[in-house]
Amino acid sequence: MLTRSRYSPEVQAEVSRLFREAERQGIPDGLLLPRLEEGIAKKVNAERLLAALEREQDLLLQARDLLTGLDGGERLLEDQASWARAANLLAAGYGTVEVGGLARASLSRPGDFRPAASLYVSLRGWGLSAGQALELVRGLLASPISGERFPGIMEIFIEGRRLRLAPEILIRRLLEQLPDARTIEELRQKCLQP
Amino acid sequence: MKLMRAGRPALGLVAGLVICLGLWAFIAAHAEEPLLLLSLAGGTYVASAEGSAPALFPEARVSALGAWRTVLAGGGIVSLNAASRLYGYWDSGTIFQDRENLMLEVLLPAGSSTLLVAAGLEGSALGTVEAAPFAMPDWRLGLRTPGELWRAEFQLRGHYLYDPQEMEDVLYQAARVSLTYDPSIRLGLVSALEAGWEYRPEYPAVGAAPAQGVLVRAEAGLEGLLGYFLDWSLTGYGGLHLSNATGSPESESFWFVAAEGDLSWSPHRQVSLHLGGFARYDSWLQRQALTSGGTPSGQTLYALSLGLNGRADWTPNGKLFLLLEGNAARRLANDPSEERWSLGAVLGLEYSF
Repeated sequence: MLTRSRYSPEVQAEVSRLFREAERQGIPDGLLLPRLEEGIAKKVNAERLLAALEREQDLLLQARDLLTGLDGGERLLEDQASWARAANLLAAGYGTVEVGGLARASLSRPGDFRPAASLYVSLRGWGLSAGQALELVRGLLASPISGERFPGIMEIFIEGRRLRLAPEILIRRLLEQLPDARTIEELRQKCLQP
Repeated sequence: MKLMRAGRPALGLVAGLVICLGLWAFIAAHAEEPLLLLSLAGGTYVASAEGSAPALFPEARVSALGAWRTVLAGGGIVSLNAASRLYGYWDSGTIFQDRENLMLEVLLPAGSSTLLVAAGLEGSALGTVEAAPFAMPDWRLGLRTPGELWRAEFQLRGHYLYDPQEMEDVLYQAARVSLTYDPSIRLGLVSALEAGWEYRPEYPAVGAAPAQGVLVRAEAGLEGLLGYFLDWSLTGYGGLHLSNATGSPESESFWFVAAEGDLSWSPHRQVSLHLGGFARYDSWLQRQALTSGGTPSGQTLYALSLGLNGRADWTPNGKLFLLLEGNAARRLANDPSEERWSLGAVLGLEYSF
């Protein structure tokens, strides 16, 4: 891939050196490759490409330290996509306390860390506080609702907004009903209807 | 447009408000989080009916909405919703209209299913744009099955429309079965079948038989979530209404097909946008379309109704809402007396307590 790019041999050598260094630090190539592909596709200059790869490497190391610091966090680290998602959250500006809280909440369901993280980002982007979003995600992860259905929570907030139901009230209702809810639809009916 | 002049006795409105307040006082004492929403809005309404010149009305609205609910020990939920809206239009004089709603709903666990019991009252003491003063109690009894992929619901539902001015009283009772298939949160399929019976106690029927009718309606639709912030639905339905009544168009026999869609977008808790639209075609089996001179045209009546509505609101704090609403409706028919159109736009404020 690199040899087919328009980067000079010197830059290509520097990129190869970065990948070897990352490998020495235990970072699989697969976690850095998307950033390299993105740089090549966007035709960014060599300086930006190298800076982005170094930053990605740094974020992946931070994410690994954060996950290994959790009791049982290696289960999340085993899944490269979850490791990458933790690094993405850090890159997006979420603090280690938030990402750590999210990861800790996902330890019982490591396979659902990614949908939980996506929902968390959506809830924060929609305007909920870190505490509110984390509490909801924790409640969901403790429920039998599958990860692929997590976006349905946002659907409930949008409908609640239309009904003029304050998010704070809706959060209380959701947290109250989550322990017994088997599906998102059941949750929707109990929190919005009647 | 059936508009009523100010000063008309509004006993029903007052009675409705008293009932609302009484129930509010009772339920509020037991409810978890009562919601009270007051709204004040103003705008314009332009309408034309039966080929007449368009009339423009400045419009003002005052409305109050209350909602209460309580969770029962066994997991059941009881809720009461009440809403009252008063509309003012200024033509050559002041014209007031109103609409009230009251709904009590109970959800009870029934094994793994959920039992729904609901009763409500909808009405207007002064009339609305579409109707003369009326009162319409309604009821529902339903059973919902649980399930993530497939869900079913069976409902018995009905209403009695009391229409003191137009002799349009109707008793309607129906059974409805709906089936939902949700393969993912992104796309779901809904379908429903409803069969109902109606009785019009005040209506002249063909011969000496009481005026009765049946309605069969089938619907199918899609709904889903785009990204995380855009909720949408698209539904098509069609049906057949068979009746021995002769009178208003809606009392007679006709078939219909329709489509409607909704889109709600809220990228942030401070902002919300809702768009809706519908198209409906009705074709009567016996009713004749009339010419502009009022004589039968030799064709049976058909009509196409189209509508669009939109609503956007913004809130700085979740309490005060600034809202903008707009709507447009057009009815085309092969009978000039059935044709009309309207446009409306409203700017308002809402406060949530």
